[in-house]
Amino acid sequence: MNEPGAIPAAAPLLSVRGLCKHFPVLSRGFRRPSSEWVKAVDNVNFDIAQGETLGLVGESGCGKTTTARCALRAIDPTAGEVFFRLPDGRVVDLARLSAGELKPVRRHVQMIFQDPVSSLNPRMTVRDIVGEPLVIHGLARGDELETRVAEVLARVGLKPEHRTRYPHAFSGGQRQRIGIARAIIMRPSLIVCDEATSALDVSVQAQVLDLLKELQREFRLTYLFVAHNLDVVRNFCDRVAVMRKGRIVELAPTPQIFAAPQHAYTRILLSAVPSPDPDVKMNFNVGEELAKLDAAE
Amino acid sequence: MATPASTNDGSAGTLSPWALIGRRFAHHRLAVASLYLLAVLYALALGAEFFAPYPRQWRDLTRAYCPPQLPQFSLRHGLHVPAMRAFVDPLTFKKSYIEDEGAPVKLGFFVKGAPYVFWGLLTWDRHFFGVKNTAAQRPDGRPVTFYFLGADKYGEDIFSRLIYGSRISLSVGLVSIAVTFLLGVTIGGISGYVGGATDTFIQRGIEVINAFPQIPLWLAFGAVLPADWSPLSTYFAITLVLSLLGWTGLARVVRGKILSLREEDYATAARLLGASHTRILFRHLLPGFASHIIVVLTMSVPAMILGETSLSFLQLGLRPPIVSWGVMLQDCLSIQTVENYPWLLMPVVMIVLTVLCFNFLGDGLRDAADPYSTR
Amino acid sequence: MKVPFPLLEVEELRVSFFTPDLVVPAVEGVTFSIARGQTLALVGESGSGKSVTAYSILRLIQPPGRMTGGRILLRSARVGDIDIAKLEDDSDRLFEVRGGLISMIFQEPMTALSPVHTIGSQIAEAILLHRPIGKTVARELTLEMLDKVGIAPATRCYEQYPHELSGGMRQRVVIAMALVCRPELLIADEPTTALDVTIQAQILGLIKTLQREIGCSVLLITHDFGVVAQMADEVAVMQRGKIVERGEVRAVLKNPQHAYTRALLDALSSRRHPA
Repeated sequence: MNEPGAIPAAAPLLSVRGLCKHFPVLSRGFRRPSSEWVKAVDNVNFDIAQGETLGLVGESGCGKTTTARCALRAIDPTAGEVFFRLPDGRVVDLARLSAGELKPVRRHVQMIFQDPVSSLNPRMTVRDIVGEPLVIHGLARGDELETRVAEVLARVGLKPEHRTRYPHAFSGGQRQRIGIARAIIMRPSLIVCDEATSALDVSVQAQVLDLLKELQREFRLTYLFVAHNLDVVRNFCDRVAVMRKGRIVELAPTPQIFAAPQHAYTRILLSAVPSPDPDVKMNFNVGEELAKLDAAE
Repeated sequence: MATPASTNDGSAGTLSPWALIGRRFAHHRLAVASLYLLAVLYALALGAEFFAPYPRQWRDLTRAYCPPQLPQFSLRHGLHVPAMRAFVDPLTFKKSYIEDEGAPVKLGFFVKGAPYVFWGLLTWDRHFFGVKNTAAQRPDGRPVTFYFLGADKYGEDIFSRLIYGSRISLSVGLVSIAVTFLLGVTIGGISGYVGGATDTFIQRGIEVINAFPQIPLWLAFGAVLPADWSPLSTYFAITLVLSLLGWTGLARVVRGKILSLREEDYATAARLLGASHTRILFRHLLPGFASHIIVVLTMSVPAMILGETSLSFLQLGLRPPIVSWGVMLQDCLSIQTVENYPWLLMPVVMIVLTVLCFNFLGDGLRDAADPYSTR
Repeated sequence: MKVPFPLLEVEELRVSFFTPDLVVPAVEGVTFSIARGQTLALVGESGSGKSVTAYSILRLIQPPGRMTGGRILLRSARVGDIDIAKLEDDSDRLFEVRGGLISMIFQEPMTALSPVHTIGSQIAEAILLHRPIGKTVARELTLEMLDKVGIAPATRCYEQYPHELSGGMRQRVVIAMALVCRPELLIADEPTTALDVTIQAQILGLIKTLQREIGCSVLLITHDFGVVAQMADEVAVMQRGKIVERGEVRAVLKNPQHAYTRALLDALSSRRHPA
């Protein structure tokens, strides 16, 4: 990727090179030999600078979530490197670390999930959920743990007395705040937001995005923001990568993507978004244009 | 659609999942009633010596097949049953009993009776209910008797035997449940968490076990049980047999639950936080289906109880002198006996009652088990 | 809001949910009407009662929910005026209304499709239920309809099962099934929420085209103001079981009167910081 703005000035915090994830296609029959492979992620490259937000946009099945999860080593990539710069300056390849080496690195890389219901264990209190990272890494216990949980809850806009409650007592937006609290309590440098606001109502979505922005300024967080919704990406991301069929088709600064999209697919994607302005007509005809694009490839 | 209650009032939010389960369970009236009834049955079994009017070995051969005697109340005699006189039909030789005009048998609560040692701890001679004046004698010089639910062919008190028998019949379920739990959770847990070839192997194994015809298998087991084993050993062998066949259902539930919970985002989240396998398994996965395990176990108790009864009834399981409901039913093998002395079928009533109670209880627990499902 | 030639008039509709502990009102006196051939969008966030309102028009509210009051007047061109709220639960009239005069499409197309029957047989079944025609005619009509919703080749799809199709294709099938009896009103409950934007654009375009062709009215339930702006003629904004603002789409979106409508519109990031 050599577009202007694609390569951050400073040394990148995360640098993904040649990332591939292939899944076997099981053929029918008893032995089910896997002769074919689906290339869910196919040679993906991108960098994220410290403090930056990179949007990863695409339609379902384009491989954006797989890319993000490979970058986090939630799943093992088939090939490629994921270079991550630790706070002490060392650079590790997340794709190649063993389980034991991975654990200390996990402190610095966190994830916020799409589904606010399933991402919180219903059988644990908010205190246990938010404090769990500290317990796992042995960073705090007893009173100190309690104080830090209370602090982080206050920071994400919840009340300290919410600690004793269970997730079921909260609304979707509040649950997502709990998920955010769990992600930031260890002061990570990189947070992967996997459709973090997709399941929320519009007004709540805006609040959560505002919170994420504030936290980014405060803790110098870096976001990899996976979304299918272009509208969300527009004001939240510094740069946007548009994915299609496992590849990044366009990566550019956000204003440029929206004002002067280079790739035909980006243009189709943008034209298909229904605008809330009745005078801006949307393109109902994307089906034919996509077919044309497919034919051209 | 609408999620009332919880979000608005502060108290509901701090209720633990178990408290929510309790709340839901309390709404299920039949299940709650069953729970109480089962508690009574188990209390009777625990305090059998006290609650049974007669000791286990007590019998009065002259009173064989005495019909049930319902206590009556009069101001003159207090609680009593009329005295009975044996009468043999000169034509059919059928033995029957007719009421005697003589002094009635007075009954009372907390009466002095045969002494017993209660759970090896204290010696006592009080019984909850029984003949008030044990010194009273019938015209033939024997002590007066009271058969609340009738007598069997040896003149043993069916009511007392039911209570003693419940010790075996109700506990056989629990003991085998413990074994089932151990086998089911371990094997099912390994199958679900490890997955892959291990999972396939275990699942096929379970299918093979399930494919075994149960009754012939029992027959085989019964045949190999040495006749000279002590009643206690036989009892444990029976429970073991029952649970060796019964754990597969639980193993499947555990495996299924682990497979589905493993995919929940919170399990992934824990993994991404760096949590160890044990932590994920015990802190995140297991609590998620603990209530389901309880449900499955509750639902499988009836099968165990019925299993014991069937085995004993078929004379493959427990044998006299052990008293269990199944053993008691061995007297009902001939239709003639059942027709003439229907009270011998009392154990059936108890079995049906117990099994129904466990099923209702399991039903209520199942409905309550998932406190977050919207119903 | 009175419209000149109303097809559907809902007046003071009330629906509540009765739990053992408390009564939760879901719809509290909702009044609106839809003109013939027009599209009314019902917008709101989750729990605003917009779906419950739609479901009550077809009398699909299940216990513990219950309609506690109101009038749902369908001024049908075919059978005259019907107050749907007063119909018996299993009356022939209600049966005629459902699927015949009013049909519905859902967010999740699989809820409307049986997984064990072919697409063709399900659509043909829908026709045979409401029209006195033979099987061959029904098959012809089905193929014609599948063709109209852009499924090619229709003959192949006729023999397929729902699981063989993608989400967008399934939604097309559901639309075909909903419109094959030429209903006078189509209720679309978040028809594109589960779909990608490019598929959404195609489905919305399809609904628009077919609406024009059949001449039916559309009640569009959505939370997306973008969809409202592109699809609807009128809009009603719901909040906590009440309609807080309604009017012509352009007027409401360009110049919202109610604070809640303004808040919802402001939450859209493209409006917050215009590019």
